[in-house]
Amino acid sequence: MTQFSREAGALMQRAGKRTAALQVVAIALLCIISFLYLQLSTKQNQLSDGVHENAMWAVFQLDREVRTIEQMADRMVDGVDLHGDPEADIALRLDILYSRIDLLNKPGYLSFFDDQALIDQKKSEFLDHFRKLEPDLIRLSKGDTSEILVDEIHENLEQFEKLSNQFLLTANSVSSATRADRKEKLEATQTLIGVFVAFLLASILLLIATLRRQLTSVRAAGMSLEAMTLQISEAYSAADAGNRAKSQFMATMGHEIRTPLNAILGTAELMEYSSIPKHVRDNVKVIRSSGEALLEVLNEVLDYAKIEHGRLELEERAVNVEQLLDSVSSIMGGRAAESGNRIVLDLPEKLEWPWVKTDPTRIRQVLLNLTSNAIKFTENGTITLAVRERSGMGGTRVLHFEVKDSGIGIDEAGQRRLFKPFSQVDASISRRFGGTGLGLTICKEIVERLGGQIGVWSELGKGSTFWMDIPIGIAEAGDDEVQIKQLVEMSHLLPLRILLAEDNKANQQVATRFLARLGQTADVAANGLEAVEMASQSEYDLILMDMQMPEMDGISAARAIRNKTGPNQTVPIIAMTANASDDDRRACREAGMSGFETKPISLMRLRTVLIGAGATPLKNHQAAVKDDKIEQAAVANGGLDFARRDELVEALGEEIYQELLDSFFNDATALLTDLRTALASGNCEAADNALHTIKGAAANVGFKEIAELAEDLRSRADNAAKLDRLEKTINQEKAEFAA
Amino acid sequence: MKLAFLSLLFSGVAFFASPLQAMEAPTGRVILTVKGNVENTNSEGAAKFDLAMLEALAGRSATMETPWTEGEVTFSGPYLRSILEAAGASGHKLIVRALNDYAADVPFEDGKLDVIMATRKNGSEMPVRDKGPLFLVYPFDLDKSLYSEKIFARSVWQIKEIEVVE
Repeated sequence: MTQFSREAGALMQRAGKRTAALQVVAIALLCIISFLYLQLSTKQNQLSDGVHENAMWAVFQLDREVRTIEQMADRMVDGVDLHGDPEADIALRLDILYSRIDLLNKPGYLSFFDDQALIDQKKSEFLDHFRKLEPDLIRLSKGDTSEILVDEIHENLEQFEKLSNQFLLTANSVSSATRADRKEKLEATQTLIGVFVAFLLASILLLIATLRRQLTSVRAAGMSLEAMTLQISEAYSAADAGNRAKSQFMATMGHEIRTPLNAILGTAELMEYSSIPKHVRDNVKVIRSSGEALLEVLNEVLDYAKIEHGRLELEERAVNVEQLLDSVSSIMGGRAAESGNRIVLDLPEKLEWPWVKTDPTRIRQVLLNLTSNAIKFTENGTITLAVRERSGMGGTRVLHFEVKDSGIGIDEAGQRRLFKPFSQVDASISRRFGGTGLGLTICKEIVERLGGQIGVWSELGKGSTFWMDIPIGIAEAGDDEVQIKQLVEMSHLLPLRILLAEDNKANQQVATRFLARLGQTADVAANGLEAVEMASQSEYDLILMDMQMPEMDGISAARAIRNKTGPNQTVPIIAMTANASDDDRRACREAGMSGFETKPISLMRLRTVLIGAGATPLKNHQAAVKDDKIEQAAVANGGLDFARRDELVEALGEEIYQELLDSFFNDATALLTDLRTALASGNCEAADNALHTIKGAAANVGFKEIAELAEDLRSRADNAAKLDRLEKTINQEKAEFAA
Repeated sequence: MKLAFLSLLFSGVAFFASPLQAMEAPTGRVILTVKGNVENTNSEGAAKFDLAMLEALAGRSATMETPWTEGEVTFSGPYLRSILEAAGASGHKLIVRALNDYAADVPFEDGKLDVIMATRKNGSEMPVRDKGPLFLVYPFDLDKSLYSEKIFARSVWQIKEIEVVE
């Protein structure tokens, strides 16, 4: 392809040169032709010019006049009878002759003739003779007709006529010769023009041919270019697809690794709190710190994948600058102390804009990363976190952050490598200090996405200062404060209109209690049909939909609500289920649901869902951490999920929790009877439904073991031993917890 | 339009009032004879003019260059149309004859141009030796387009008579 395009290019260049040369030739020919044409037309003008006609005519007239006067004079001399006044006539004729001679003597009048010398000779011969004759004629005009005069006149007049005739004939022949001569020259010029026109024509034809070839090669080049473009775009999309696949893989792997890692970390933490020998505790600590390092690396990789994918989402809300720095300091304080470092905050005495609008999560992430780096490369030193307020051009406001360490510093070459993906100052760094080399790339990406700049000042051995300028908006103090307060105290949220579709009474109770705890009231539908019916009548801000319900399941109900032109076509519908397989998620999404929550839902998760459906989306780090801990606790405990119980007790109160337990055991007894009946009659579906309800209800109140047994039985309900075990467990728990 | 009609009527009246009106006879030497289709005659069915009669007619003097003279020359004399009017001439063509019997056809319409029958060159009468006594001079000074072979042929000198052809 490139070979071809090069050839086409060379061809085009050659054709271009030829075209230029031909153009020059054509222009030169055109000039020559124009010049020749000019000459031709001048010559033609000369040929057709009246001057020469006039000259010939004047000579002829002269001759005529000479004859007239000769006749008159002859008659007068011969004494032929003349009427009128012969003397006056002669005088008049003589005057006319004078006027004709005058005309011929006018300078330039006879200049037309080529053989000027001959003409001049003939003219002077004639004039000489006239001068001889002139006195006689004058005498004649005065009436003198004496003998001598008459003889003289006779003689001279004859000669005079002869000379005049000669003059006329000479003029005529010279004129003809001149004319013929000029015609010949004209024809020669015409021929020359013809030849040049032929040349011009030839060069134009050549030009056309060359242009045609050029056009062809241009077309060919265009086509090859197009092909090349296609190939490039194919290669690009292939590369892009590869990159996407890589990012996708990284994201997936990251999630897959993070989940078990969370479990490891949670378990390790729990182990640390239990009473174990010191050396074991130390080992556990190693496990935990290694796990945390691994998690950090993993998070960086995931962030980088997100950035590469263009999926880095930013938010903007009110942030307290001081709190932001405090949080960074407190998070990193422990690690700093481990390496003998101290973190110092450097804030202006009074912040002009204590509250600013920006993305606190991302800024905190960058600051944490920079601080973590600073700690990594500093021993027994000081890390300074500084912030300054600056007003930029055109009234923009910028927060200038600095993370300054007294560590090993970075040389210039190293500084150039910073902020580039997977690069570190040098290879020995990664051996000594570890890390992905992605941290600063992510920081740079984040800062640039926020419209800011990031940079570094450093000198080897004198520490480094990483700085960033983030453009910010001014925020009113308070709204963030309120949100934080709400989060911390779990106080009421702004009431939403919520529809809860849940068939199990106990689950209904828990959900409504939880919602009440968050300041919400909900309409309750006992099955899918009811939910669809209610959704068609009134407008909701959020629908919480159980997946498995009698009459109509959650998926069908969601689909029905989405398909109806009711008020809830676009309302968020969150699926609630104990089944959390990918297929279920896909089914939910296909039915038009907006989210998916695993049952039993915690108060925190529920709150997050509510906030997600409300006007202010808030994703809170703290909340997520707490949530994780609750889930970890759930994993950790056996028969009764104490965390769940605590949550329920906190939300509902001890008394209501007891009621819940009682109603669960009542339901469970009834459900077990149903289950046995169904199994006896071979009604698998009824049996499965009963087990599903037992599972959901048990999980709801925190009976983890019962829920697990029920789920296990769902696949093999005919296993009598397992069924017995389920019943036994329920009875055990009943004995322990029922009032 | 109306005016033109009136003037036509008036001239018509004048025409009928004096058929074959007799012109005053020339007192000096006759230098121009207008013959042919003429209404006003004074001798032998023709209108004959001496220098005084011609110079009494309306005319003009014009300075110009011609192919037959050297440098700028001032010609003066009566308008051709004044002469034709005076002779009561009408027709479509004039045959202008010179002393040497050279003749040129001049369209009657040329009278509408400011063509003069020059009697004087630079204020002096023109002798026969110098294209006199009369020279038909076209207004080359007023209209450059007249400077052409066609007009040159009509520019007769040494004029002796004009024949008006119907």
